Amino acid sequence: MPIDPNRETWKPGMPWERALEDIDYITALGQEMGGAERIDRQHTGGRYTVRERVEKMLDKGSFIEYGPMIGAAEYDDDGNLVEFSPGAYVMGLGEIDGRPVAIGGDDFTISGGSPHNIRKHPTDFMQPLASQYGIPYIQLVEGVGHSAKSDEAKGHMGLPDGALWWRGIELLKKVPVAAGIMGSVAGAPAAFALMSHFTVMVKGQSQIFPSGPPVVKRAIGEDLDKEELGGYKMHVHESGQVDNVADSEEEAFEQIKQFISYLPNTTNDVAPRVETGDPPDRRPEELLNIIPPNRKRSYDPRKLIKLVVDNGDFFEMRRHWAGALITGFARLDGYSVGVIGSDPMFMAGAMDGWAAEKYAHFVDLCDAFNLPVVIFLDMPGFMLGSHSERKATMRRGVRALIASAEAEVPKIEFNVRKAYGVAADAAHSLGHPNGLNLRFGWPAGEWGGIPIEGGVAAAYRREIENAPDPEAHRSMIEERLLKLRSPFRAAHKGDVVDLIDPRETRRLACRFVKLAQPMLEKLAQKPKRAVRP
Amino acid sequence: MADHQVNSPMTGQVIEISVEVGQSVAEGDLLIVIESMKMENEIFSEVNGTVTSIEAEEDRNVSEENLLMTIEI
Repeated sequence: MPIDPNRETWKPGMPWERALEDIDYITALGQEMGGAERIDRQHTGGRYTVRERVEKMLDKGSFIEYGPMIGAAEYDDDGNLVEFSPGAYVMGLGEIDGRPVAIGGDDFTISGGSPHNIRKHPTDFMQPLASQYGIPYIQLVEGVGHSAKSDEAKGHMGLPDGALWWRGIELLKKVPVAAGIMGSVAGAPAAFALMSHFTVMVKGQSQIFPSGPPVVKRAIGEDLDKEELGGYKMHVHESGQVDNVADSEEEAFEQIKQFISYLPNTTNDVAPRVETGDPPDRRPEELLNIIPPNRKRSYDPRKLIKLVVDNGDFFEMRRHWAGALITGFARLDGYSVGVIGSDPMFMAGAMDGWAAEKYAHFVDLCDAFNLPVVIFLDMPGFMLGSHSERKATMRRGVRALIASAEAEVPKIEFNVRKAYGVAADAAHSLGHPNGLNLRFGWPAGEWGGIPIEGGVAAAYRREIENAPDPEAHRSMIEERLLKLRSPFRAAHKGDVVDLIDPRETRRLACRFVKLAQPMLEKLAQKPKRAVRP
Repeated sequence: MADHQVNSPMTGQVIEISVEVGQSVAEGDLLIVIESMKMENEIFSEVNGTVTSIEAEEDRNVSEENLLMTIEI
């Protein structure tokens, strides 16, 4: 429905019924976004419009839109509306599974989502609303940021002042922030998207970068298409810039819903318990033999985690990046928890610089949202070698250690197999004055400052070299030390709360999470820092 | 037809090559085992295709990102 230039617009003094007709009329004009052709183009590209996205994210009929009539409006001399084009952002208040959320997204059918000549921006309404109401903030981003054309219109080039950001940073301290990266996103919109606790992009449809291919080519001569430059392979698999990837927009919405479902409304709340129907004393029989007798062999760590948590539901974050470490959310006896696990199938589960960064970030996230952390550790140590050195593995490892020690949320740790060196200390941080940090050992548990093989090679080097049969001598020392590796010896010294039957893991973890609740209530009252993505 | 390169995810020693040139492989099939960090790290195929060349050699060391084999898909 195009605008009717001959329609007489309501003016003060005219009947209310006519005003109501105009509300409907102008609102309907706004619903048409950038027009049928642009909407078609959005659909032809396999993408939804922002209004369809908001509708799909929210419970039916729950959306209260802010500013559906905000737009560039022109009136003639008689006071009749002759032109209207809506602002390029749709936002408001809605519900997801009955829970209030603030939601908004760029309208890419208008000027590519870039700021229009009228002001309509999430900082006007949606960000302060989420902050004041204390509700999750969901942004569906599809925009390319600053346009050189707008400089021409304004007649000057503004000095960037950073004023755009402080509300977003405040939100990171207060409420869950989740972003769907819904198309090609560059510049300020890219930064808005990444200023989140959780980000997801759509495979083949979403790209994110400071500047897209034309600018890159002009600046450094590199000629890449947008998918090569900023697609999911680059940013979900390689760089770790974006947390998750989805096969479709629907899946991206589902991931955002799942992410916020594990978190409380604010960092000053504790996530509410949900009835999951999974008995806390369930004994997963398969756990008994999940660790192979041959310590060089792997097992499926996700299977292990899913056997323990409620109904096997585990929402993983950063699945495709820094694979030696697994991070995600689950429930135990209905209580939300953060889960950290080793993946022995990827780089032996050894911590490299990226895994350390993933560790530190995830612990910070759990600490901000008062989520207890459950750890399944099988950590042979830091990843060694020159490739790992290039990732500043030790410095980032220290960062993980500090994050872990500073996190005041309680942790429970199951040492399912290896725990060696400083890398394993990041998970331990036992004895922190504020932490109910419980360590349990499985019978496959083996740990120490350094594994026997490398430890013997380093500490007994001279003795071995001088022996008549160095190889035999080395084996002899290794055999001697091997006896010390029994976890029973460490248990006698109180290194663990207890050595346990692996099948008891779920029962103990559920007890722990329940016992931790009063402490979480107290931690929730503390002010929180922004979790840096 | 495109070539899919299988690169080593880590530095270590090749202890077993489980496929031969000309062999068809499916996603999830075991290709190669690399011992590193005292673990036998199994590398599985991410694609369906045919192995056209194998650069890795048993008992030889490989560095992270070294080409192990090529699969035509």
